[in-house]
Parts: sequence; structure tokens; C-alpha cells
Amino acid sequence: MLNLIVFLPVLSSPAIPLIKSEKRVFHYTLLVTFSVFVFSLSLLKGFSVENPLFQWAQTIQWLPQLGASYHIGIDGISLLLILLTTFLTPISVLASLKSIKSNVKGFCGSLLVLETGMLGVFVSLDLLLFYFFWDLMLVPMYLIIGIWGHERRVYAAFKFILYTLLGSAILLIAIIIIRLKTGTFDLIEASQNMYLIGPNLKRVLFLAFALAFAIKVPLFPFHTWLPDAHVEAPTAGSVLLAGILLKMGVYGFLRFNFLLFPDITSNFASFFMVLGVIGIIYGALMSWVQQDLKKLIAYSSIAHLGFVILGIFTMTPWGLQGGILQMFNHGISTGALFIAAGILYERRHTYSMKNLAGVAKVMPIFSTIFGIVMLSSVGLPGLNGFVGEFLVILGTFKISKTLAFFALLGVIFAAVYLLSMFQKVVFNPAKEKYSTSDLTFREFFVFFPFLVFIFWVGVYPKPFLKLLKKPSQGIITKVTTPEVKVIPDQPEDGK
Amino acid sequence: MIDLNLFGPELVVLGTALMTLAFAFIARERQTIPANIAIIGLILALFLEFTSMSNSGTLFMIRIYPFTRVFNMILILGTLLLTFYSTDYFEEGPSEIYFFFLTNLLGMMLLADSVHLLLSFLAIELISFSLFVVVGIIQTPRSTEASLKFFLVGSFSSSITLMGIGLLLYSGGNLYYDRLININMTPIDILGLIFLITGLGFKVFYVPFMFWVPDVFEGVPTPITALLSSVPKAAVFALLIQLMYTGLLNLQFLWRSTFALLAILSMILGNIAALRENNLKRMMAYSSIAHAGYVLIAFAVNTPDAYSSVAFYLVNYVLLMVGAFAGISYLRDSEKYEDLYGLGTKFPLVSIFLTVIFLSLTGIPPTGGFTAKLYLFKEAVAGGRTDLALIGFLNSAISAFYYLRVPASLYMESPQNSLVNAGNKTMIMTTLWVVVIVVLYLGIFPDSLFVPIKSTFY
Repeated sequence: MLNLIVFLPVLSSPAIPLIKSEKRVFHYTLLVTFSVFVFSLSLLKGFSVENPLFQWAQTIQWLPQLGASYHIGIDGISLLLILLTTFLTPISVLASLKSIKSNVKGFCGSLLVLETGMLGVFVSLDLLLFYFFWDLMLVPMYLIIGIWGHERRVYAAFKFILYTLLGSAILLIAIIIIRLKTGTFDLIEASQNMYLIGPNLKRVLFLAFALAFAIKVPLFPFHTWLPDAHVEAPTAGSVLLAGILLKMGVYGFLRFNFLLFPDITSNFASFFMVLGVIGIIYGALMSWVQQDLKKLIAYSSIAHLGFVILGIFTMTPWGLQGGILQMFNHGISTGALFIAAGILYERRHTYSMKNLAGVAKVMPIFSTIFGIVMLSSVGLPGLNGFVGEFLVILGTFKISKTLAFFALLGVIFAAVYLLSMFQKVVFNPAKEKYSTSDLTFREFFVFFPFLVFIFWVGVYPKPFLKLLKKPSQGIITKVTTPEVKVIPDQPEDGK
Repeated sequence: MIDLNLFGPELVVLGTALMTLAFAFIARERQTIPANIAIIGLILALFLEFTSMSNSGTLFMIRIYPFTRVFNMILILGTLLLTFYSTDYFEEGPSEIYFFFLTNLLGMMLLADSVHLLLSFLAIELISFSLFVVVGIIQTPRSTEASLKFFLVGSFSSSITLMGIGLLLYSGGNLYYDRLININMTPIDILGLIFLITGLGFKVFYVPFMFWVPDVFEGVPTPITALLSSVPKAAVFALLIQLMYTGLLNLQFLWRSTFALLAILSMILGNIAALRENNLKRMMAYSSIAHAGYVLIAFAVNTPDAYSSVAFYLVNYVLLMVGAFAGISYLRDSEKYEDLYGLGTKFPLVSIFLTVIFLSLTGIPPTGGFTAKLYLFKEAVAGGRTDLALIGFLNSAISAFYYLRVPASLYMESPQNSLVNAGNKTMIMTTLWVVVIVVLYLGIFPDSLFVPIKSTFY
């Protein structure tokens, strides 16, 4: 089942050139991505939230010479992210129906390959397989930004791929070293054999992994590729970039740094928490001064991801669950915000908030939905953003009151910049009169599922938190158990 | 009694070469006849090489065993694809060119088979002379300049190589690789080694013996550029592996560190120069210097596994170089990025192929270029040279910047003018199909080739 979900998109892409009309290509892609979504829902049925192990697991020999195998499986965290991916991809296809006009076949093909890459990252339990998908998904994203983006698209695409490739070069070296020291690429076996690596080398490896993932998140000093890539990408690109690709960095931290280097992770936890808080404040301040709607949303992503990092590195049940839930929330809210920006751009051909003014009069329905989405991004109680941020701050409060204070400050800033953005775009009087149509049925249909999730997570987050409970407990036990206790039962494994 | 089966492929290549020459004179107007003969002969040679894989033996200065057969197969396959490519490119062109392709191939095969430095030298000369002719065979002012440069550098480097061989003969008393073991750390030996590394450096073009490469690459017709950048390098690497690993082991601490240094310099300088280059062919020239640097890492590590991964790397490298140039020729025989602008929508299939090829040159999965680098650098880490592997990976990340300019030009820019190479190019298309399928296959299932290669090394 997992195999089907991961490989269905890429395997269905060769049929695209055979389809004559461009409209049909969209329909076909929509059909494929939607059926992937339906299939991924069926994962829920066989998934037991009480089971701490990886489920739907499967191992096939792949490269015995290298010691890599095709080992996949999911836990609650990856399941949540898989659902987010399979949910956002058809939506972003639907959202691009009007805005992508040239080379539709190439666009849909890239999108399908991208989906396989993203899903592959979330299911891999083998380091090399993970790297394989991690790099695989770069290329279609690079093409999507570079071909269908805005004016400075080529520059942004190159910046995106260079940053990520430099990070992944270091990641690959670290993976190879782990392979040579522990004798396997398999994540679970490697995590049991990590005691074979000396503490100093371990620290270096931890930092190598952290660097690659921090670029992807992006954590504060490594974020400069993000505004360019987000602003220049077409709507579908921005949605997937913000919604999924950034999560891969966090997912990498959770899956690899936490599992492979639990002791070092807890040593470095406060460092990353501080970086997370810097990200929150920095992202908020940068968003505050933006004149460009898309740039504002991009910088707000840095702030939101700061919350996520802060949450997971508190290593408390609340913080972890909140952080992971916040990943999902950010995918929903920011995805919706980018789609909203895209809808405005299609009508007015600008992202400048000054020129966009006065939307409320001409597009009342849109303005209402935009308002709800914006408030969910602010973290209004009753909407999804609140639950995640509240849990994160709760978790942080137990660790450090200062950091919690600054994070709270970030929440207030978020309210300031998002509300002022909303005022500028929606309520400020328009410079000159203009008229434009309100949401079409298709566009409303794009937003509708977002609204469902916004209210669902906001009012009744229990099913989501239940999904995350076991994995985050697992992480906490792993981190809090001193390594010495793990070693004694190793020799049987090693020999 | 000499077992002729042992030399089946070499003899077939020789025979085919003579036949193409004869037909080139007999049927002067019909360029396709020698080309077809060459193709049939090459396929036969490849087949023979494949079937006699386990057949090994020694004759005078030649030693054939599975490892040389692997290299010979790489060389034959490369030449075969180049011949495919040239039949479309030189439709009216000189039909003698296939003769020189084949003599070049013969020289390369002998170079891979040789266990005696004198034969190696003669083989190098056979390669060089064939290439001298090929480089100058189409006469334009630029190619004349290029061929003159190539000739001067070629003969100069040959004499340096010969000097090195002479010095080794003086102190070792024998030129068989396995008897060079006697050589020790006398000043003359060291001098001989330096001459040898220098002379061969011109042939493989690693830093600092590469300054001539971009000029020559730029001046010659594109298939010849593809030829110069691909197979001869693989052949000289085959020589270097056997010479260094079996012969000059006594001096290994010397040449290992030298090659490590040269590897770093080649990777970094090649990449930086390629970054700044706005001419496609010159970019490819510099990038092939960087690739020489990646391969040299194996010599710094000096383990059998590292050399096996070199063979694997070269399979990919040869295919990719030929494929890259062939694809560009297919679209428009040009060396400017601007001329490729916006062709992605006009030639969707070739553009996808070119994208795969350039991604593979960069080393991004799921392509053979990635797995080749993975194996090579993994052996580097295993051999204790994590630093070289790290530099290698960072450099291949940087190489994305210039390699991806090709797909970027194809897709991300708007067309400049509508002049397009017209005509039927089924043979180039065949080349591209072969390259892309093999490269993708090796990217996903590399072990299916790497394991057999590994089992052949000693």
C-alpha cells in the first residue's frame, strides 16, 4: 500500500505526453493526485496509534553491496506529514489550473515526480534511500520555480538548489561515515550501533545532519534562500515549498538527529531552542516591514518554523506534540495564504499590498475566507494555529521562562503584522476604482478543505494529538535514557 | 600456440579499421558504408569481449584478464556511440574518420591490455596520432589552430612520458609493470615518476597540465570534442591504475599524496573555471578537468575497491560526455547557451534526455552519476580520506551551478531566434536513448554492474 502511494505519481507521469489537450493533462494529474490522497487515507484504517513501532514496514534488498536496502515504514509523525502531502498536492494542482499556461505537461510531470520525492522522504527508514528521495525532489522543485515562476525565477531557482545541494553534500558524507562505522545504512540498525562511534566524531556527524536540515527548515542564519524561492515560485510551488519541503527539514531533525544522536541532541537542545526563538522574532520583524504580500508570507514561515523547532527541542510531551502539530498547521494556514495571494495576483497582477488595497468591497466572500485563514495563522483560539502554538509555549515554559516570554512576544508580533497586512489589503480604500470577480466555484472548492482543517484542528485536535502521542513519547524516552543503559543489550545484536 | 580467441576483440577492431579505410577509398561518395562497417565491427567486438569475459591470458607484453576486458568494453561502447553520433554529424564529411576512430580504439585497448611500459608508450602514440588526424580533419581556421595546439601539446607530453619511461628503465632495468617493484626511492626513480605523472597528466588533463584543453575543445567539431573528452581519458586511467597499483607500489607514499593534491586542485580549479565560462564547450572542458579530479581521489586512496569504483565511474562518465555533446548537437550545433534558449518546448524528448544527462553529470539521484560518485567517495572515506570525499561532494554541489544552466537555458528562457538544426537524426537519437536508459538504470540498480566489475579486479 505504501509503495503504491509513493510510486503511483511518478509511474503515472510517463502517460502525460500521450495526452493531447492541456486541459485533460490537468484533469489526469488531478485524478492521480486525488487517488493518491484517497489511498493515503486508507493508511489510517490499518494504523494503530498505540503501536510504538514503525507500521506498514517493508524491507526489500536493494543494494546489498553497499548495505542499503529499500526499507520503508511509517509512524504517527510521518503519517501526518504524508496526509498533508497527499492533501496539498491535488489542491495545488487545482489552484494552478488557470495560472499555469505554458508547458502544462512539463508542469504536471514535475509535480508528480515531486510528490513521489516528498512521500519517499517521509517513508524511508534507510539513510541512503532517504537521501535518494531527498535529492530526487530537488530537481522538480527547481524546475517549477525556474520555469513557471515570476521575474527573478532563474536566480531564485539556482539559489534554492545550490543551498540545498551544499547541505546535502555534507549530509551524504555524514551518512557514508555512519555506514562505515555502524556497518549499515538502515536507520534502525544504525541507531542501535551508534555506540560504535566516538563522542567527538558523533558531535561532528550530528552537526553535519543538523546543518543540512537547518538549511531546509530554514533555521535563522541559513534562511536567505527562502524569501527568494517563495516569492518567485508559482502558487503551487510556494504552497508545496512552504507546506511540505520545509517540513522535511524538521522531519529530518526528528527522525535522524533525535534517533541517531539522542544524547547529543539533548546537549544541543537549548542552542536550537534559542535559534528557534531568534527565528520567531526575526521572521516576525521582517514580515512587519514587508510591502510585498508574498514576501510577508514567506518571512512569516520563518517565524512559524521557529515555533516548530522551539517546540520539538523542548523535548517535553507538550512541546513535541505541539511542534509537530504546528508543522501540520503551518502547512494548512500558509498553504491557504499562498493560494489567497495567488488568487489576488491572477486578478490584479501584483503582490504589492499598496496596490492590492480595497479587496473587501469587490471580493467579499474571498475577504471572509482570507480573514479566517489569516487569523488561523495568527493563532486565534478556536482555530488550528492556536493549539500548536499554545502547546509549544506550554512546553517551553517548563524549560525556560525567558524563551517562553520571547516566543509569546512572537505571537503578539504575528498578530500585529498579519492584522496590518489584512487591513492594508482588504480594508484600505483602493487607490482607484476597479472591479473584479469574486471567488469562482473552483477557487472556493480549493479553499473549502483548508477551512475544514482549520476549524477541525482548532476545535477538536484530539485525533491529531493521539497520532503523535506514541512517537513523541518514543523520542522522549530515547532522549532521556542515558546511553549507558542502552549498551548492555547491544552485543547480542552486534555479534 | 597463441590463443587467438584471447585477442578476438582487438583483432576484430583491427580488421574493421582496415576495411573502413578500404571502403573509404573505394566508395568515396558513400559515407554511410564505412560508418556501417565500423558499427557492425564494433558491435561484434563488444559481443566477443562479453562472451570471452572469463578468458584470460598473457602474451609477451599483453595481459588480458577480466579487469582489462571491462575497460575494453567501456572503450568499445564509447567509440560505438561516438560512431553513431558521427554518422549523423558528418553526413557529407570525410569518410576516413571512422578509420581513425578505430585505430584510436585499438590504441586504447592495447593501452588497457599492456603490462609493459614500452607497449604502453606505443599505444599512447597510436592514440595520439589518430587523434591528431581526427582533430584536424575538418579544416576551418579555428580547428587548424586547435589541431596545431593539440599536436604540439601531444608530442611534447609524449616525449616527457618517454623521458620518464627511460629513467625508470635506467634504474629498474626492466619495463614490465610487475618488475618495476625493484624500483626504490632513488632520485632518478623519483624524477622518472614525476616525468611520468606529468606526461600522462597532459593526456588525462588534470591540473596543472590542462591549460590547453579549453582551446582545443572549443575549436574542433562537436563529436570530436566528445571523443577527446571521453574515451582516451578512460584508457589512460586504465593504464594509470595498472601501472601504479602493480608497478610503482614502492613509491606509493609519494604518488598517493601527489595525486591527492592534484585531485583537490583539479576539482577546485576545474569547477571554478567552469563556473565563470560562458561558452558551452569550454565549460565542458573545464568540467571534464573536475571529473579527472574526482577520479584521482581513487589513486590517493589506492585500494582495489576504489579502483573498481573508478571503472564504474568511467562507464558513466564516458556515456554522459558523449550523450551531452550529442544532445546539444541534436538541438543546435552551437557553443552558446543563448542558442539553446527556449528549445525545451520544441524538442521535449531531447530536452528531457539532456536534463537527465546534465543532472547525472552533477550527481543527482536517480542517475548513474550519483551512484558513481557515491561509490567513489565511499571508498575514499573507507580509505581514510574523508577530506577528499568532502571536497568532492562540495564540488559536485557547486557543479550544479554550471551544469544546470543547460536545462535552465532549455526551459527557463524565452527563445532568441528560430533557427533550428533540421534533418533526420535517428542515430543521435539512438545514442541518447542508450545513454539515458543506461544512466537511469545504473542510478537505480548500480549493484548490477558494480558487483561484476568489483569481482574482476585482481
